[in-house]
Amino acid sequence: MTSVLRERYTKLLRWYPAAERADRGVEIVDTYVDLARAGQRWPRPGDVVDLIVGGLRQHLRARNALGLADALPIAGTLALMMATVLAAIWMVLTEAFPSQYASWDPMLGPLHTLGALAWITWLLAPLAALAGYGRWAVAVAVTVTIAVTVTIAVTPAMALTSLHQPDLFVLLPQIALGMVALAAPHRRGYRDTAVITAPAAAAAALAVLVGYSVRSEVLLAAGLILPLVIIAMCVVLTVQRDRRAWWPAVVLLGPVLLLNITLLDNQAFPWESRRVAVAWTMMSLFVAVAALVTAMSWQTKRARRRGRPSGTA
Amino acid sequence: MHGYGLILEVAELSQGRLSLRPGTLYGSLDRLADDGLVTVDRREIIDGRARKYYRLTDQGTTLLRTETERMRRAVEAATSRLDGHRALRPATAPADARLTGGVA
Repeated sequence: MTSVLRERYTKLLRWYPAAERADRGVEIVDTYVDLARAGQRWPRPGDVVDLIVGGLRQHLRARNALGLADALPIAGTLALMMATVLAAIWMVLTEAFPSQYASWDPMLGPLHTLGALAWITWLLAPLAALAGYGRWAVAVAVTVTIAVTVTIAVTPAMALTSLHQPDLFVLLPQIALGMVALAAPHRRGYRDTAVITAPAAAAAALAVLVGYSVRSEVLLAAGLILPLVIIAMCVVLTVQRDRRAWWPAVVLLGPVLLLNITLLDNQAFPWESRRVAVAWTMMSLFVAVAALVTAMSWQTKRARRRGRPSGTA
Repeated sequence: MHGYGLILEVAELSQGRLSLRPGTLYGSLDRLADDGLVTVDRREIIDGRARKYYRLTDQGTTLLRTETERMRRAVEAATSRLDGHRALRPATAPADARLTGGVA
C-alpha cells in the first residue's frame, strides 16, 4: 500500500524542476509517506496543492524570480483595494441616484442594474477575510462579475435593453483586478481590513458628492492613480533591496492597461464599442504576458551572469 | 535537523496547532539557504530514508536571537499592560455576572 502511495506522490513531483527532483525528490516523497495516515492510498488534496505550489516556486527559484511569488500577496492586496474602490463607486453611481432612470424602467428586485450584483459581491469580499474566507469571497466576486460580463456579451443587445447594464469596459478591468486579488491574503485582522475598505468608503462618499454624470472620468482617475501607487511602492521596495522590487508592477500591468481603455476615447476608436473593448483586452493580456516572460528571462540571464547555478541553494 | 524532524518538532512545540507541509517547508529552507541563514550540514540515510540536515549559520543565529529578543520584549510589554489593567479593576466585581443574577 505504501508503494502505491509513494508512486502517486512521486508522479506529482513532475511539477518540480528536473534538478530539484534529482537532488531532493526522494526525500520529499519520503516525508509525505512518513506523514501519511495508516491505510492512506491517495495523496491528500492539501498535499497535492502543496506539491504543485512548491514545484512552481522551485521553477521560479531556478530562474532567480522568487520575487514574483513574494510579490503576489502585496499585488493582490492592492488589486483588491482598487477593485473595492471601483465597486463602491459604480454601486453609488448606478444605484444611489434613482432619478437617472425613468419610473417605468424595469428593475432587478431593488436594483436598477445587472452590474449591482457584481458590485455587492466585491464590497463584501474584503470583509470575508475577517472570517478567513478572503480568497473564496474574491473567487465568488470574480465569478459573478464574469457571469454578468458573459450575460451582457452573449445576450443579443435587444434582449437586455429593458434593463440597465454596465459596459464591458467597466467589467473587464474588474475581472482582471479580481484575478490578481485572488493572491491577496486569505485572512486579515480588523486593522488591515479597515485599511483596505477605507479608500472604498472615501470613494463612495466622493461619488455621492460628484453625482452620476461621471463615468469615463472614474476609469481615467483609476488608470492614473493605480500606476502611481505601484511605482511608488516598487521604488520603496527597490531602495530597501526587497526581493519583490518591481515584480508587483509586472503582475499588475494587465489590470492597469485595462483601466486605461479611456485612452481610446476618440471617434475612430470609441471605447464604448464592444469590439474595441475585446480588442483592448486581448492587447492588454498579450502585453502583460510578454512583460512577465521578458522579466523572467532577464532574471534568468542575470542569475547566469552572476554564476549561480539554476535550482541550487 | 532534517526536514521531517522539523515538521515533527513544530507539531510538538505547537501542541498540534501548526502542521507544516513538506512542499512549503523545503521551499522555505531553500529560501533561508539562499539568504545565508541556514546551510546544509550533511546528508544521511536513516532507516532507508534520505535525509538532508540543515544547521543555522552565524548570520541565522544572530537574526534568530534578535527576533526572539524582540518578541520577548513584546510579550513583556503586553504582560505588564495586562497586569496593570487587572490591578485597576475593582476587587469586588463578580467574576461572572450570570452567577449573581446580574443580567438585566
